[in-house]
Amino acid sequence: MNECVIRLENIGKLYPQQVTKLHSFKDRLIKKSNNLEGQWSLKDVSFDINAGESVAILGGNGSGKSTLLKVILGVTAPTTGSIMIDGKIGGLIELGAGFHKELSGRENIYMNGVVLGLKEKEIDLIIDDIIEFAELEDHVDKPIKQFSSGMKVRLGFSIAIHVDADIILLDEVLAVGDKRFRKKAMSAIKSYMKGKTIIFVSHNASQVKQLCDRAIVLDQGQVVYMGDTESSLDYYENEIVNEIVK
Amino acid sequence: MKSLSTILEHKDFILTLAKRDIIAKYKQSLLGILWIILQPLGLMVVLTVVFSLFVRLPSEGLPYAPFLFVALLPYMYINSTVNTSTKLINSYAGLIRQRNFFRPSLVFIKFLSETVNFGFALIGLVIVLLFYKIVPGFYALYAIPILAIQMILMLGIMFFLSATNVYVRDIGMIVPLGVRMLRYLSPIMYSYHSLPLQYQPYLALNPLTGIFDGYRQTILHNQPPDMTLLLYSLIFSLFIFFVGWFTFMKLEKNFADVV
Repeated sequence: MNECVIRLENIGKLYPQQVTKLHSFKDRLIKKSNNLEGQWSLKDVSFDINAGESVAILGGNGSGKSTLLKVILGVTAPTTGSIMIDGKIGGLIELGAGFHKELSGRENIYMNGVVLGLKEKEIDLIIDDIIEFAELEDHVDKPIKQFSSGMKVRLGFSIAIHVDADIILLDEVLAVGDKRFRKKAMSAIKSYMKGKTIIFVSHNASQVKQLCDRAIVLDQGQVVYMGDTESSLDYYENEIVNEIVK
Repeated sequence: MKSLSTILEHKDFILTLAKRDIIAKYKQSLLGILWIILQPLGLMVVLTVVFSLFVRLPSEGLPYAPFLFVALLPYMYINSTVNTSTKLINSYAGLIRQRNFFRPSLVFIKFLSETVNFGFALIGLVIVLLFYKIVPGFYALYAIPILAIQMILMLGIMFFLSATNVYVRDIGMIVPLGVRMLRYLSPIMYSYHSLPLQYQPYLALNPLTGIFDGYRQTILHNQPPDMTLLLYSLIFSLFIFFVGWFTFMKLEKNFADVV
């Protein structure tokens, strides 16, 4: 329980103003003003997460939650600071974005599975469970482009929880899907997460309370509060949500 | 360089995705995989009619169709690989934003699926050779190392273009034009040896000259290739490969922010 599996030290992530404007030389030539400052999505973020902990990340839109998850997942490199991860990392951020729309649901399960480090044979063993959990028995051989958004979410979630990982990142996973599936997903997470390290992002206070032992509150890219779930939720409500209302 | 060996660790990943890439490409067409053979054969018929009946081009004493085909197929292999490489990273945008994986795999996936296509397209070459009763001799084995040089060059170009196009989209516009120009600036429709002598050194600067001419010498004439030209192609290809690889590895870290 006390072995540290995620350690972030002074992580900062700068999105330069030009990144999106660099697509075309024309823009760069016309706009002489080089706004080098850009925007710091994360600034000086440091914390440790131990094995078996489940931690919530709270914060308003644009506070850097998703960027933080991306940095932890290794999808994007931090501008400053260092990060240490110990264990296989899995999870679901940006629901359904990893699907290939021309291929069938089944093919996409294989594709996602191998990206997550499974072998084709290992996927053969779990594919029926994945389809069953996602309740897509009738649709799984259709191309993804014919899937409704709810179906994609269910499939993505089902893949994520059927692939074994030590550290799981979940970003707003339960914000979509109908109520019944959300309930089912919630209980699946609870049984799946035993003994695993979880980082959970949600705006839903009751889900956070059910799943997490402690929480980190982010505001404008900086850690403003760290503590147990109750007090963090209180802090978030009082200091950040109500601050804006005033 | 250590990362080059990690490619082997990811071979399952690469194989599975390459298989899917091929399936996806032909899924919605009626003739499916037959297109791989039909496309170059169609082009061959047109070019053969134009350049052996309408305008007669010297073809080293060979029938024009096999003369053309032996260079046209490798060119089409380069053409489709290089052209698709600019869109490569963006077409996997979803995976890149969501998963941390060994990014150079994407280039190998495309490379592999195009290579399988090329393998099928070679059936067309066999048909043409049979039709003209040309039997390749012992020296045709030289075509294998020549193909290896071509592959090194292609991989280098793919790495370079796929990574840079993520940041500067203009590259995706220039590349098809460049590849089309190469079609006329390489000895595909004409013979390197029938050029006026004073222009031959200029054409030799194109690394594809040694490669395409090599295929002709070895497969059709049963002769060893021009080693000087080929050595130049090899050095050029290795240089491009390392430039491409290091560019890709440098830019790869922030793909997720840009795609």
